[in-house]
Amino acid sequence: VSDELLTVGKSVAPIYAFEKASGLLRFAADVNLPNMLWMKILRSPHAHAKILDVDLTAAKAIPGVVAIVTHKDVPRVLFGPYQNEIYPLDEEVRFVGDTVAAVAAEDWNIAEEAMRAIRVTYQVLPAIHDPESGAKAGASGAVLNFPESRHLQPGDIRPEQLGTLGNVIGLKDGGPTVVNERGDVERGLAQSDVVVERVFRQAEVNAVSHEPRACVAVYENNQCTLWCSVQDPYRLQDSVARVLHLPVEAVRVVATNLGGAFGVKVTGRFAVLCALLARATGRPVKIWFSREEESLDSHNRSALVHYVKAGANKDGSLRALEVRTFLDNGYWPYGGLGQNIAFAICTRPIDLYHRCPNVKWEVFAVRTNRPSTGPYRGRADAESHFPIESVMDDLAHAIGMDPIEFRLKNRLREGDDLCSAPKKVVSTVWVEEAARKGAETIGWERRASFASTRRGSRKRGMGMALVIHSCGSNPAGTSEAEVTIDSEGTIALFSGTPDQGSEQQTTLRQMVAEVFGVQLDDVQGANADTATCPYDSGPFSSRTVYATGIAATRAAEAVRAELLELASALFGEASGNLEVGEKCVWPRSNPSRRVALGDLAKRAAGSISAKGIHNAKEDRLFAYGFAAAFAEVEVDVETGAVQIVRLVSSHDVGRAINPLIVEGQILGGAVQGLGYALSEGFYFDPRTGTALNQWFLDLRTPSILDTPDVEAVIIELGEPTHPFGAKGCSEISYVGVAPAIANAIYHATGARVTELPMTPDVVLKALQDARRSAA
Amino acid sequence: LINFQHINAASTEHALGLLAQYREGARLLAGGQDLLFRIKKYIVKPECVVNIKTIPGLKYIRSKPDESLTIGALTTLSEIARSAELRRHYATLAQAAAVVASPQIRNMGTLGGNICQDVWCWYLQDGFSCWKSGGKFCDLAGGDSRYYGSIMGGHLCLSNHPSDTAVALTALDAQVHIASPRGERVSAISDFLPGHTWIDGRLQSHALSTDEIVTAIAVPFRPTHSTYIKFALRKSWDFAIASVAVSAVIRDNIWQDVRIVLGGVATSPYRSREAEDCLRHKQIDAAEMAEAAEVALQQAKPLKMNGYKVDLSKALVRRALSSLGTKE
Repeated sequence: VSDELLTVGKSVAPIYAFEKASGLLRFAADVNLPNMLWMKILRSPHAHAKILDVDLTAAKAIPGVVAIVTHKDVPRVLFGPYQNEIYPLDEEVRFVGDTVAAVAAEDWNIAEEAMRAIRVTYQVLPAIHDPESGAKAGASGAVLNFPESRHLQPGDIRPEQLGTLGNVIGLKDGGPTVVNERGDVERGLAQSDVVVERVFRQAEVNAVSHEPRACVAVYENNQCTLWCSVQDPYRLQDSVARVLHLPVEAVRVVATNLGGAFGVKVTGRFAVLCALLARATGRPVKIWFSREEESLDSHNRSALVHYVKAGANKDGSLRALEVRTFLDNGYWPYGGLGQNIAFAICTRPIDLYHRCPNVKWEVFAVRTNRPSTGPYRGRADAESHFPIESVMDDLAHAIGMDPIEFRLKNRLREGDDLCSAPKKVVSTVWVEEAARKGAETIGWERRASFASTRRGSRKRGMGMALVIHSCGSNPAGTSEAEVTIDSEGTIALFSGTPDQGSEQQTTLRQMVAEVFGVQLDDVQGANADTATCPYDSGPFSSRTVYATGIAATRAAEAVRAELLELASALFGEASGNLEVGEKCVWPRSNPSRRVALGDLAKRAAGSISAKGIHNAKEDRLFAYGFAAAFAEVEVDVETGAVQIVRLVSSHDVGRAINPLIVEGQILGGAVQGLGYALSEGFYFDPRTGTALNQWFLDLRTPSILDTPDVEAVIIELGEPTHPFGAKGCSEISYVGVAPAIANAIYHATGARVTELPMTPDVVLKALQDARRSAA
Repeated sequence: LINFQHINAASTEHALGLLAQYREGARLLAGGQDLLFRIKKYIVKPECVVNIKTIPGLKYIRSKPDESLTIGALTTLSEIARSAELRRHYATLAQAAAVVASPQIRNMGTLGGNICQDVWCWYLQDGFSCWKSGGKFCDLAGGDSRYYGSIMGGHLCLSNHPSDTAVALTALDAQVHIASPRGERVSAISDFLPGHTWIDGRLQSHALSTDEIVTAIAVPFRPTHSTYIKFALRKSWDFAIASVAVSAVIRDNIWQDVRIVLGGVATSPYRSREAEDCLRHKQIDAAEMAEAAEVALQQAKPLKMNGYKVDLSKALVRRALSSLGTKE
């Protein structure tokens, strides 16, 4: 691919921009079929209970109720989004809101009425409400009935996991889920010139996708089709096939356009039960979550507690980092993705500060009787960067060094080994460039003058944070893509990955268009339909532009190579002497002799197609995305209100395939991160485990009036492992916002906020503590 | 959603007739911004919803220089926020109406509905058995009261009164005009919003009987200065964590009369006559404003998680007072 690019690097309008802006785009909730039934889920009022009896008499007597399923009616087959570890319904319910039964009825109202008429007798069991008490020896089990080993199939839960004891997810009795250790942390701390010790607490948060999930299932002729708001259609296909005991080919999942997904819209009970009810009734069945269900029956970012000790020398070298993290893993019997998240929590920041010789970071992922937690935008790094970037700031302050210089001195460098990706080395690290350009943009040097201008109750400060986050180079994922060209010369891209709102289809098509030297509009295609598209593990970990992009480019290049071969035979010229563009091929020596791509395809049995595959397992080089977040704030020390004056989000994106879309992702992530920083929390009653604020108003995402103009800085210095030099950057801008704001508050007031969200009560308490320790 | 009758009332008399007919089974619908959520959550299960928005003549703002201000109960919050007359002479009310919830809610919500709205309580909405849902317990005392909960104690239910306009109206000595089968009655707003009270078997935060309708709000008092300050987590679509309405008659820098009312912190708009007494008939300086703020909060006995509202409210009182004091 030449340096002169036609569409890559251009801010072309996303392909569904008009449909989205005008409301024409269809989502799962827009799917309505003739003769369709509506489904509702009955949810547990108890945090932990055993279902003793379900009385359906009254519910079934309601006219219009067609079918009801309880745990007694469903196949005892395991499925799940990450590993097969849950049953469609279970006798044991494990959080307030857990699925008890499902109703299909003639309309939504009847389904709701029937749901309310079901009488369930529960035996209430002791519940675990927070990870620290759950991890204590002798704590009651948050999960009592583990999946039976006879239901396990190849590829399921690893047999050694079955030995798990207590509530801590992990393989060792009494030990943490994961520990990352190197050097001698105690000696490192003892020998450090300065040591900082703090406890950080982060509230659970919901992704608050604007679109609540929906699913429509049809079962006909032993075939099941689902239209679903789902990010992992192939996983759902597999799950439905398992539970309905169908061959995988007999299940078709169409992942509809997603109104935000953020990692949480994965295979779940609602969709599997929808399929079961479609089979039971022989009619299409639809479920559409309420906002409350969207919050409850989801994966939230876990609530966390971190106990941190960090030591540094006066020369600016980071000497030791000791962390003990407790992560609320929710009700997953075998941990869902908890182990994976725990691993990333304790390794990625240690990679970012690669020069630190002494580390011990233990993570306890603990089963609780709470909704499941799991990956949500910025998985693991939003969890870990708040404490780490806060103590980095503390250390820099303690040794009297500029916080940027202190961080950069200890940072990861190109070619370093990665503890977060064993046996791999990092390919490019443009973190210093991101930090310097960000500092220049916000005017970091102005920071020094703030102290003299402080007056009244408002104090101004500036803070920053460095960030490392996955950008697609995840060895756990696989992407395939297919590119075709037909006799009309129509180029099409088929990819299994859903578009969750980040316009990946546009970006992918731009890359394919570039290979053929055509415009974006010249590439058509379809995506996220298991019947027509090749496998993709889905848009997670900011992997689409990177991993699916590599697959799509490889497929396009294979098709291009075949076209050139055909043209080479036609012109009697070596393919190296041919040019491709304007949907034609011509010999460089005689541009007037051109043949249309469609005509070449005609010669090859009417069409040419090729598949490209990406799986990073074998690659030695590993790509990471880097960022620096900068916040300028005004803290009202009388009310605890934090006003964001400026927010700069500076990113190493390798190369922006579509700068407009990249900027959109950076802004969106930063605003979501702003919510995590200042206002959002998903709270539970500590005594009963009941979610308290699962509606829009009280989840408190920032309103547009609370949102500053986020300034995006895009650093494009390339990435050799991607054909166009791109890194994924959809999540990373979320991560640095909270620590940057906390550090800005510290700069403004001298008060260290150690809790998220930094609501007025939290900020006022930090100010009080700071006054007390100063006195 | 439960099934219910929906009847458009043609007149106040018609609505009163329906209320008499359905008794506890009836609910009044004006803007619907409070009621519909509660019906959907099965907190309120009406047999009959009486739509009073169809009653003509209850939507007006009447104000004459030497007479009292009267606002029809169906006047929307947007209309109040936009009214030039109110913004000029009753700024606290116009400002309060302008910061209620979101623009859409202000376009639908009415003044009558805003002062009659029920509490916004996580425990009530999540189906906990509490005083308001047939139980004998308030979860806020030992539960999560970080945003919604009284810091001034309370009777049975400890949820704070959520209205913005009621706080401003209390600072204006408003009177609530009520139509009932027993004829019209007028209630001082402080009597109308007495804190949680049993009325006809319901634990309410207002004193309207199940057979009555608010028809108008009158304000006989005309301040020279007034303001409303709302402190919330977000700048739009949020309830007050704390708010302050102050109205005063200030002539030649002498505070002849003043009313200080706190919102978001008590089971009704909380008027502090003690704080007002610190200021009346004086020229006020910053120290006296700070003193009044201390006095306004001296009765505070916060719950486990809302102690921060005390200092926060003091800051708001100081700011509200100084914003009036600096104005000519």
